[in-house]
Amino acid sequence: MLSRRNFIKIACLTPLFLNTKPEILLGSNNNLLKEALYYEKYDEKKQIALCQLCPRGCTISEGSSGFCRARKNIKGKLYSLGYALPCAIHIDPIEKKPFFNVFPRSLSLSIASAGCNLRCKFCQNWQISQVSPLETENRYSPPDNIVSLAKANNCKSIAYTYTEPTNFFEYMLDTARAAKNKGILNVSHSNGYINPEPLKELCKYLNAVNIDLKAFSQEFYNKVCEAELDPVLETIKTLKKSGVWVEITNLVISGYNDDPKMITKMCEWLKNNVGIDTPVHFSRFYPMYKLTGISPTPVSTLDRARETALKTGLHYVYIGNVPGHPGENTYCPKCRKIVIKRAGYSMLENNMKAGRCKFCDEKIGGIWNA
Amino acid sequence: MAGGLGGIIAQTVLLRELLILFSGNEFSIGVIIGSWVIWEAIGSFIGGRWNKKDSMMALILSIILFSVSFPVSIYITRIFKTIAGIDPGVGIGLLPTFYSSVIILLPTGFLHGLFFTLACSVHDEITGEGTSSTGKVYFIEMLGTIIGGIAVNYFFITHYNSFQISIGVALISALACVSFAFSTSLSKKRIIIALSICLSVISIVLLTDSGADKINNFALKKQWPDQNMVYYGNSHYQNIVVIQNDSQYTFFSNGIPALTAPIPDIVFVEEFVHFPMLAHPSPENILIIGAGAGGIINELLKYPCVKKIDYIERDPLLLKVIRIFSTPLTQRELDSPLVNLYYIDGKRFLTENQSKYDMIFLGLPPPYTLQANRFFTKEFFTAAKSRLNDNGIFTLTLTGSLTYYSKELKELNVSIMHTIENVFPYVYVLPGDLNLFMASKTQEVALISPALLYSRLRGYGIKTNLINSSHLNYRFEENWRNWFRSKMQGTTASLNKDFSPKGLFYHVTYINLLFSPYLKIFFDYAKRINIIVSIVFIAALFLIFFLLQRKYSGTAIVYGIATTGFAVMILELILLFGFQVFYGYIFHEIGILITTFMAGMAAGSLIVVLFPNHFKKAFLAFIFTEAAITLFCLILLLILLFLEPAAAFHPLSIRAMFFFLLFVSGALAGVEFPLANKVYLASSVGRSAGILYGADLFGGWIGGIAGGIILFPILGLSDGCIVLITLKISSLLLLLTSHKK
Repeated sequence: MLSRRNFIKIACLTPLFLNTKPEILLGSNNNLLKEALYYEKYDEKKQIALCQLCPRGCTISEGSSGFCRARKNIKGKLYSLGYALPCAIHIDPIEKKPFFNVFPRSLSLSIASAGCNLRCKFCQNWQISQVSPLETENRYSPPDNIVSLAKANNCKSIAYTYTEPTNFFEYMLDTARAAKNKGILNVSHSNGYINPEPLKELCKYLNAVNIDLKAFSQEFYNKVCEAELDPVLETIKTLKKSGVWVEITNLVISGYNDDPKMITKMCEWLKNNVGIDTPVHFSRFYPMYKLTGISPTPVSTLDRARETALKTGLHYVYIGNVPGHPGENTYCPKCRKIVIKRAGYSMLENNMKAGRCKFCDEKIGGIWNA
Repeated sequence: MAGGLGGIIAQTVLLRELLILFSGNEFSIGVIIGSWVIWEAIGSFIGGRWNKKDSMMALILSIILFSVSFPVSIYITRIFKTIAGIDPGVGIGLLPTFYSSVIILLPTGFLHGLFFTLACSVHDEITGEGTSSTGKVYFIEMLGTIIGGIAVNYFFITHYNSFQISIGVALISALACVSFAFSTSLSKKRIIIALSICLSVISIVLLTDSGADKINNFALKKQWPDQNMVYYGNSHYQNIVVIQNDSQYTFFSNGIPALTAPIPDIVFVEEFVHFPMLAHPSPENILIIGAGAGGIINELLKYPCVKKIDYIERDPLLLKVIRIFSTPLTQRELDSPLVNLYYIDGKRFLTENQSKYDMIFLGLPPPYTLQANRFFTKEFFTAAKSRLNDNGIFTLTLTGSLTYYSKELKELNVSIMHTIENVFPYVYVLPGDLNLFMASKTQEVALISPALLYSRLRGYGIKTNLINSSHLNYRFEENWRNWFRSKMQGTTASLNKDFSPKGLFYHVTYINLLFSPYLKIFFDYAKRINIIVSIVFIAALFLIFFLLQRKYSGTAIVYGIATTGFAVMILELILLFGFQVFYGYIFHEIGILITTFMAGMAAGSLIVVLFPNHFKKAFLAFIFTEAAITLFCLILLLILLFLEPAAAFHPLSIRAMFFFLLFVSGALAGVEFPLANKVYLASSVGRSAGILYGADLFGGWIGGIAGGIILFPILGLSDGCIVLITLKISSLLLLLTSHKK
């Protein structure tokens, strides 16, 4: 374990050097730097660690961090830099995550620590995803504090989102466990880039996950995100098998992943592997982060994607970032009436009763009030 | 002459092409100009060292190579991202900006510098005039630059595409070579004539048979692959491209999407319009500066109380193109009888037009260039305030976040927030992906509450997609504003003023995080540069050259020319920018100002050439010129400091004064160069011309890169001028302590 002196040196000097004023409360708890799970001491002599949390499988030498910038090798042991040090804590409507088939109109305490194991060129939260927790201003918030905060603010769920929650896995795990004990749901928005074993452990506490399926294309994942498609598909399957409620987000970018054939393949795969009850959100792209020179997605492209998905048999297909579009509503798969009417994140009409369509009593997939 | 012409045309056209490649902000503009200048400097240095025997041949070859490299460079600019393995829609960081502009401008810049100095030695050989011939060549090059500059900016750019222009230049140069070759007695005469004639013929063919057009379209397809480009054109202000995707048109300005129709970014458009409009009891007269068409005016027209919408758009071409590629949305907006279009600079409109408004919307992009920064300054906010009715509201947006604020984003927002709070007694900031700033003279914005806004919305009976009671409650929740305020607290940032454009600096440091986060340290240190640091730096520089002077005679002259090159670049920047601050960015006026400056340079060098006797004691004259430049900087500082209150009273005389000051600063620089040549006695004319031309350009390079980003935004005008004065004093001292020959 780190000596007190070294720890203070690292925690204090690094941020000072980087000229940040972290709101880190040191306290007298030496366990502030949390040892990571899911890694192996690859080479004891050279103090090299092999991280096994996500498909990257980084071999991290002493003093270095992994690709995600959030797990660091200190004297041969791997530490989660973002543990209990979130840089973002906000209360959002659950629809923002986006979850349209989970406790509509409820509040979600959303947290994130810095870091990400992907490098998507269109990242919306690049300010905190493409840096390490050592470079951000963080607020010391151990898992129990988060749960209390959620309770005090009437939040039905805690959302692990904004950046990639896999990178603060241990924090997410501990918080989720504590939340479940107190009757608070756990939801997350993830890129799905996590290994099956840690994922299965997490699934014991997660209620719902939104996976950002960037594109149904190996090439896209390679070129635009510096990652692979298959591990994401594995994650989706594992989640489904574990009984976690899955929603899929697909940000449609003209010229990159809007090919109708690609979308058809994706919908077919979803139908066969996760089921037609899986909601899919096709979102409109606007220039973001490094993708500055591309036109916004035409709404007609989104319409076509939605049509394709519905034709494939998927029940709940939504259009994101186009307020006022009929694709924001939840329709009963049987009688086709609107069971939940929405505009943006606001719910305008609720025609459901105990998880069923008010009109024809058909069961609507999702997690609902009793 | 052809050299001067070709040079300025190449520089202008390539600058515009490169701006599209880099989605140009102020730093990249400086980098592009700097890269051009440094290659010219290197080219001229090498030209100076060229063996006199081969000068003639080299000259002609370099002209021919230049003419070929110009269109090739344009082509490379268009396909650069493909070569570099970057996707066309992806933005480029600072380092790639640097090395790509250095690479692309290498051939053209280098060759241009080369053939200037070669021309000097050739001219000297032919006429045997010695050192004064450099002055003559310099003058003629200046003339060519002026003519070329006027021609390309006022006429060529808007009527011809880049390839047509570059091939036209090739033709002129080739013809010049032909006539040149005929008039001399060269051994390889026939080959040269053949080459030149070939080039001429190819050029003529390409120009007349729409070959240039075909090349242009081919290159455009490479730059915008797989996109349905329905329009490509250049106005004085920008490059405009229209991409059609299904029934959607996206209008690009210099490669960045500016507006999308018929379905805009609904979240942005509705929040930007309705939040402020609902904060006002009954807004009738609306002013929107920039970004009106494409959704905003459409939302404004939903209000029954609106009687007039004045829409300011600087570039008529943009609106023309929007009309050509019309959609129901834009048709509704532009055809409405309530809408009045004004093609003018926004600040200029505010100062000249006396109308008063209930709502003023600033729909312009954040301060990414010195130009853009003018709309986020104390002076602009003051002008806007003066055009507001008593309970009127002024609205703008700025890059923001609902998730996290980095130090850079904090500083940007704090700077603008303090600036606007400095002017308006009541300011309401609504945090969001874009932070919405609403300011009023009376209590209007302080009374904002979701209930009030919603009751007004109901009252008007307006249909919106996003704005409803629950959305209002969510967005205007106290928590968000408290969070935002807590983030802004504890961050210090300077006010953003016209002559202290700190906003630009903060924005550049923020944008830098996206593409080149490794340069964060550089900006952190650059931020700390102040007047003391600069003076210490100059003193150190002086010491170094003082010691160098003991070994190499003539060091003082080189130092003098280099610092003048730097100073003149900054002076031109200050004067041009100062003019824009007062009178707005009106393309034609700026063009004339630049031409005045160049005319001054031409006149200055002409004086030395025509009246050699007055400058017999060249060294003394040189010192005198240096002193004059120093004095000029001082006078400029004093004038600009006291100018602002006066500008309102004597507009005409102050405008004339800008022209006069630009002419004088150009003249001072123009005098110095030939004088320096006289003094710097070296073994050959070509040699001295080379080093001095190089020093001049090197100084200009530093000035180009550092001026727009570091000197001006970080130091501000007054401190910047003091730095210049100190710099020239140091060179004066160096001269006075040197050994006279």
